Amino acid sequence: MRKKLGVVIASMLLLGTAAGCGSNDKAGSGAESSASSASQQASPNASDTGGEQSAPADGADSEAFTITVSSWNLADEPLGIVKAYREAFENVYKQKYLNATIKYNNTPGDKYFDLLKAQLASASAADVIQFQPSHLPMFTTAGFLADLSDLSLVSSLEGAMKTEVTYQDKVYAIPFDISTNGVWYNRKLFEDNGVTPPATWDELLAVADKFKGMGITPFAGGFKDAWVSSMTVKTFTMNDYSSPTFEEEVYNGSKKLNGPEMQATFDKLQLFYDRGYFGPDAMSNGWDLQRKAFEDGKAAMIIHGSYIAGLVNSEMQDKGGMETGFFPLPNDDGAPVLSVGSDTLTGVNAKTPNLQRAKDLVAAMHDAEAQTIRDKDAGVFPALKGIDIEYKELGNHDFQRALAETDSLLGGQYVPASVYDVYGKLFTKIMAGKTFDPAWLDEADQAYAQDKSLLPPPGQ
Amino acid sequence: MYAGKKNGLVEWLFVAPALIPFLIFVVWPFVSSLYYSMTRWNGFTSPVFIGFDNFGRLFREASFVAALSNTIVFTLAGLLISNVLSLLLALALNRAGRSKAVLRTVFYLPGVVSFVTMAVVWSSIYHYYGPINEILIRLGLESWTREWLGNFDTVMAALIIIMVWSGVGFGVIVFLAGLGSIPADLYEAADLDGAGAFAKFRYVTFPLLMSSVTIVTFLGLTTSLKIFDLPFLMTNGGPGDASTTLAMLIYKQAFSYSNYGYASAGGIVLFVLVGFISLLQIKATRGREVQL
Amino acid sequence: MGMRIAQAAVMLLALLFLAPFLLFFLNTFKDKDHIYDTFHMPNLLYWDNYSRMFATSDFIPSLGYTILICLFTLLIIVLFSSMAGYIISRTRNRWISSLYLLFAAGQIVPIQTSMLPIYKIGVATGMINTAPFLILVYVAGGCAFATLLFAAFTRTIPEALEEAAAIDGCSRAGIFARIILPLLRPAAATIVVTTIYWYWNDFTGPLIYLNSGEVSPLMMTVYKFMGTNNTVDWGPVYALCFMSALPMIVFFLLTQNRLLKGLVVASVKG
Repeated sequence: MRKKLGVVIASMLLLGTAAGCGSNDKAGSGAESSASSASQQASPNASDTGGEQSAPADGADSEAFTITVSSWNLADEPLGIVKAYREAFENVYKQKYLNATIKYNNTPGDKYFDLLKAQLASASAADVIQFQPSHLPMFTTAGFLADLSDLSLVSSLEGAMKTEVTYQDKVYAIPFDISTNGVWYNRKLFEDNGVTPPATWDELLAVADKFKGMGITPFAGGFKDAWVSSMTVKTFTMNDYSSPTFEEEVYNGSKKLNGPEMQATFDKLQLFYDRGYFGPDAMSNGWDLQRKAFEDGKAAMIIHGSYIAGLVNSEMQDKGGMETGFFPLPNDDGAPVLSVGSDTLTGVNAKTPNLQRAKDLVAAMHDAEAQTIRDKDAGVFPALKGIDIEYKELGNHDFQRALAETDSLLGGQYVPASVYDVYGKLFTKIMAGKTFDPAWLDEADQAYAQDKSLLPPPGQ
Repeated sequence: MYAGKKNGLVEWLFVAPALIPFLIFVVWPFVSSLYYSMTRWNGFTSPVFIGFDNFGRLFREASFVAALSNTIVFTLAGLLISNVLSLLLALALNRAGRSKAVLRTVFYLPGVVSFVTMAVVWSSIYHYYGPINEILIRLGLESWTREWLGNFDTVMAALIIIMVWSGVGFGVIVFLAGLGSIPADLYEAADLDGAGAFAKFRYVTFPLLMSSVTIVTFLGLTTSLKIFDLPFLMTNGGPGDASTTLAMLIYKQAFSYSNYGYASAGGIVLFVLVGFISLLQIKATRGREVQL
Repeated sequence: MGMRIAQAAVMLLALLFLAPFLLFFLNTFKDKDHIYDTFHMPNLLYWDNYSRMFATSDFIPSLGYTILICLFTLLIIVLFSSMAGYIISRTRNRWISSLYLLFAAGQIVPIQTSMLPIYKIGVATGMINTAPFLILVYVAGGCAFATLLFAAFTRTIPEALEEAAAIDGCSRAGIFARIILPLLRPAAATIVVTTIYWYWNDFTGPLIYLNSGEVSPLMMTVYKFMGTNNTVDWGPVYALCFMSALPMIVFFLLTQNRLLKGLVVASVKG
């Protein structure tokens, strides 16, 4: 369920108060982690990690029991990738627990999170639960999550990926993937027209103008879906943060969300609207039609996360596939910043009667081989170091390179979900033809003031 | 005819099966939300009592005010259009003869289909490359084309059309039923008095239809004041806050932002609003009803 | 002349009302490349969307499950609220007769803030994620509305009938079962034909209260199918939507006269 992958991004309010990843060094550690998990070099640890998780048969447990997993993205989909992944990690798990039955509660969409909260609040959630970084502060402070610090997987977590799942020095979840948003482009269209990926803001505008002149929409729009509009704004905001610690400064009150930084972002979005870069159907499309415009070559570029290359290639399979490319959204001086984070976290319900079994299931779900099956064709990038995947899409190679080479930070770590909803809403106002007024951002500032108490205090 | 203690017990036993589930699943959640509305509570940890702060915050917030006014627009427009349109249709159908049954079916049909399934179709109808714009272009009215749901001027009208489409059939049937129950001799008497068609409508039909008006209005009120699915599925309240309703705002605050106490306060305001308007309406229309 | 114009206007409006259904129906026959093309006339012999839908969704078991849920819900509502409606319209006890107002007030409670407390009740009783729990939640809300209607219908039954039976030594329950209940049959039919659509089309209820079974109710299946088939190929989704709407369309066609008659009584005596 890709839709969910994006919602994540739209509502990221990550938690990171870990030692070893001080709040004043977010950008550096984020980049470091991106580099390590996206690196092409084979890690000798990969097979070790896998071996450790699939415990040898002599320690096997033959008791019959049922363990439950709830998620929004473990259901069968038409490509059969998820099913193959499930079978792979079930096999790993059953080496240790011969007679285990794994039961899945899968609910697609935003509704899954509504339901999960109700289940946790009434101690009726599944043994193993998947959720998003934005939920972690609330779930840990309420005592819903078991401490996973002793899982051997934790040693494969580094930098931002570790910060994201750590709360008061303990690890409460394992990130399944690492993701960032940027610009994906139609490789053939670029090559046929002699266009190379732009490195600066002005170059980007020139590329957009060129396609517009040819009657091709520069950027596919899909802003009928709220998560797409707030994700798009978020992708723009990173370049306008005046410093890597911008979000901490907002928390401490020295910067404001209605200040010059966010105004700059919305000025850029206004410019995109004024020049018609998103096309006339941007507000009519949901994210399916947005992708279709990109796949049909009616739009040259699309702003989204890691999943695009694998997804459009598989959707275009009957027409010979589709090659894409990726570049970070450029800024003025050619040194953009990416917001890096995970879309899917796996944790253990603190109230489970099967604590060890649940922890072992989390380990099996992150087994290197199983994860490779899940990730390879779907364009998911593993968050654990040492899992090395050779992607077939050129766009994914671009993506890995961008992750490794670009400055990044855990964007949205100190921003409540309601603020991103306000951003998305303001963006749709621009798209509906109203001209941006800096006073609009006061609403973001108010939402921030009201929901600030949901955030973990930075720099502990 | 029935009296005594024993009979009192029997009567309570008769109402208990309907009353008990109602108390547990309707009254109790509502009463507990009265308490939660005065707390800061995320649904998990213990609620913190904060008095009436949530209510003050509601009326300070621009999005709440926008949601309130959108809800009122939905309600007024919905009531006016569905009452007038369904009455006109019922009057026309009442004389339509053989095609009456078929037409009645056609107008009621949208009401029996789930909105989960129809949202897909309506989105494609209002799409920029959808049939409405295509027809406009063929008529040479290209300047009229727009994104119907992505535009401040048209989004509410577009949603109200869907609301009327799915709700008008109920009104038609109620009015048809009302028309069918008016005795023919009243019209004959009016004919003898030399009344014209309009006079007959004004002095016979309309007064006798007041109880139908009460039903259509009450149900229209309670559904449109609580309207949720339609904007939630079609526009998610956008663009901006242009189609956000109170029920949507409450849902989002409760489930997306975990501001459960604040959402409960919104729920109380909505309850008071619906209750107050319904009482007004019942007073207004009931007073005009004529009993045969 | 004026009449002709009015007739033509009504016909035109009727066609407009049907247009979304027509588009809906035709889309189920369109292939991937034409599904977004409104005016493309599809090949009505293209059944690929249906066969793929049947192969990959739980349509048949979900259909059966939904029918069972609706059946039990409506049976219980009719039984419970006919009893309550009868007493409420006949009682001299002020507490009981004021229940009428309580049930009416229940119609205006917004459900968004009730969902979490109801969920907690389900967990506390261990009934969450069972069909009986969902049915109970439906009954709680549905009885309020149905009781109001039954009370209105009961007022149309002359009390003399009961008095005669009471003199013959009939108990209150006996009077209800032998005299009142048979006379309330039209009211019961009205309840069924006006409210079955709520339960059939509801998806928030199953989503929150009946979520983890092997089989889910129809609208939930539709919702899940949309979620997991979120590709640019909407054909099978349209096919599933259409098949889930069809039973209610057929049901309405078969029962519309009943609906009209019931409303005549309700609107005159309501």
